[in-house]
Amino acid sequence: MIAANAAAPFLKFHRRWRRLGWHAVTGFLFGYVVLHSLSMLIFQWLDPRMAEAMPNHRAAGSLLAAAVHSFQPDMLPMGLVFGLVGAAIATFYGYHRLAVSFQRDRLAQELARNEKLRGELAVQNEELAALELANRRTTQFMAHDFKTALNCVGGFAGQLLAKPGLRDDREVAEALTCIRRQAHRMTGAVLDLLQLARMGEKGKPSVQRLSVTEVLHEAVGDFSLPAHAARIGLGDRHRRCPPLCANRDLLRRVLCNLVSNAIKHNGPNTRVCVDAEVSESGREVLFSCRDDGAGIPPEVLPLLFRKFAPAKEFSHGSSGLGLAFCKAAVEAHWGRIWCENLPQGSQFCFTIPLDKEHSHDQCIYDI
Amino acid sequence: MTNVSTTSKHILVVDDEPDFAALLRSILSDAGYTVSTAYDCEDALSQARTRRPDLITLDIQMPRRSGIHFYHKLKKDDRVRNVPVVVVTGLTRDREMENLIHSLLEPDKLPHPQAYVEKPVEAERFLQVVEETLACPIGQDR
Repeated sequence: MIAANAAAPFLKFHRRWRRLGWHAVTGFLFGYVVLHSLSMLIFQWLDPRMAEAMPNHRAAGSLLAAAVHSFQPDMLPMGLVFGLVGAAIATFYGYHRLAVSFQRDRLAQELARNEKLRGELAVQNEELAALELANRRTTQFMAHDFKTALNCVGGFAGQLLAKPGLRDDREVAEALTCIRRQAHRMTGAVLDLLQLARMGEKGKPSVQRLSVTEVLHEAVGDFSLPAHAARIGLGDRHRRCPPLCANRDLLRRVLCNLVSNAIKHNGPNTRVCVDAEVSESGREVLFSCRDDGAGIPPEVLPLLFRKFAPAKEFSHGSSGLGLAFCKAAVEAHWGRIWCENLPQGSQFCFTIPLDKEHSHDQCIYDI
Repeated sequence: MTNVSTTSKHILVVDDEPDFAALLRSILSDAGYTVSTAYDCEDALSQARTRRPDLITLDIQMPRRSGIHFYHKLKKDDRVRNVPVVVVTGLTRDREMENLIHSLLEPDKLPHPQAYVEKPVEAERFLQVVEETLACPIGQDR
């Protein structure tokens, strides 16, 4: 059975060339008998004296007589010429069909291979999707565990700092403050990871109607901010903002990240001001986080929102996820985010649309 | 933060993670509450029935859905069903929370937990939620 299968292409190939031979023979016969006879009929019609030269000249003018006459020995050279012309035409036609059939076979093979590859690709895609899902789940579980563990570390450090005996010992207090600060910083990074994984899984965040002022207050008062409200201020334009539809947690994390980023890169004495206003077009709320630090080197600006890709000298031990998270979260709300240098310091801005088709229709209210 | 009314209150912390339970215990003890801890559903139920705490903080995401089972059993037991429950959860207040509420309450039409605290827990915010919950016994509108 295997041998028969292996021989099948050769047999098929052999059969095709044999068919080409039959084409040549048939073409020769057709040329010798039919074309030759027809040519004699035409010559008789052009010159009647030729009919009289035929042995059976009474039957002259019929195709049968011409065919019989074509086999006379003296007509052999002319017959051979017609036969060869017929054979050439038929061979050319047969060769053309042969080429087409070979091409068809090649295409069929290509199609079969493509089909096989498509099947393999589909399987690989499924495996990849499963791996990605598993990866997201793992990230979520790990982030959840880290969050609890870091909460314990930071929480206990805070509890110890509240004890008068320990708080008064300068070295102990400094160490505990450092532990708490680092735990809070790591918690922020873990929350970013968790939210990124969630966004990747769900596609779009669920949104609810929010008061801009409330969200800004929540953000600047968030426990994860290192300088904890000391030099973080709120502008006064946000009070005129209408409610907007967004995901409260994501928006708060975005604002926290921007504030934390400003303090981290400019030092604890930096003054940071967060505010929001309705944009000039009236179709979106424009959030801003302005600092009075040293600004951002121009070569770093294009890299700011890339995941894990902050400039080395500018990263200050950052995970490289914070701003990438901000970009993903803002874009998940159909908004834009950018950064610009000011004469003194820099300003991060992002927009959240007020547009009804993008927000109100999909509002899911808090329970 | 601590006042005369809170010092006599007894709070049961239910969490499968001993360190996290210790943190909540520390926060609550420092605020003047009497605190006991349970690390699994059975122990928590037993303590709730015998000591009848004024409030229970519950990690709803304990292994094998034991947090949810505990809530079901608590709310079906006439002796302790009126103990207010503050759910401490790592879930966010969006779809995940909706699904949780659905799985908690829908099958038996149980009442909602009194409050939710999202991890990471901050001492001040946590104590504020606990105080507010204790100040508003079950059956009263908040």
